[in-house]
Amino acid sequence: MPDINIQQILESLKKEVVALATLTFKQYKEAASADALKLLAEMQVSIEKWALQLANGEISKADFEFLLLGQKDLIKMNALKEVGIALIEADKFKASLMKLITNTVTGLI
Amino acid sequence: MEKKIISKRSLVAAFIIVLLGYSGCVTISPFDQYAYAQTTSIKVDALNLMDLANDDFSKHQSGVIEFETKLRKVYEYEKNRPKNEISVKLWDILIDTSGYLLGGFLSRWKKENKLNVAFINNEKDLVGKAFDQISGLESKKIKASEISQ
Repeated sequence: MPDINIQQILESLKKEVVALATLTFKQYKEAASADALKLLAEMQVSIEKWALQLANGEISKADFEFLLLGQKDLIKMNALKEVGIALIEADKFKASLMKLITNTVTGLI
Repeated sequence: MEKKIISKRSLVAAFIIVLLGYSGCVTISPFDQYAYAQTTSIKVDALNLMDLANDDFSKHQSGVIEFETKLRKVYEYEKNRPKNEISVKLWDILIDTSGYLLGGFLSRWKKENKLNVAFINNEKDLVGKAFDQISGLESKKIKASEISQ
């Protein structure tokens, strides 16, 4: 049975894994930042609207407080969703990694 | 530098071990079309029900009970999916009766009998976005076709 140069396989994999990890997590980081900024912008518009409605007597102080606490719950949900997406990205990365190893190893055998 | 040489047999064995180790180490549940459809469907029902909150609660009590039963069924389905803890935590916040989203809104309606329209519309906006967090996470999950590739 012929021998295989393990050093060559590892070097080849190393370069591709680093490139894959950089791309995967860069894309996730950009998407997560954009999502958080969008939520923040929407929150600002909502709170300004509620404050105006409170001042005009359209909603009560109790309504206003309820809405603020609702906004806080929504922020918690957004943070949890981001944790979930990070786990999904990690799973996708692992799947891509396995594919990469499969292709590299089978290509060298 | 000394080159490390291994046999094909060893490499294949190592490769199989890695593959076996990988199988089953997914950290979060895969995408579920049924769960996604249920979430988007009950979102519509929830927002429609909230529209009625400027009317006496007693007039809509049976509708609320019917809705809550449907909601519990969706929640139970989510709770029994493996590795679905994060989605369940999202549902927990949304339906918490002592919270400030859907569960809290329905409790307040029951308690105060009638709510004002401006408040209802504002709260609908928050609850709609809360449902979107759940469906947004579900839609990002790995599809079966991606796993088998």
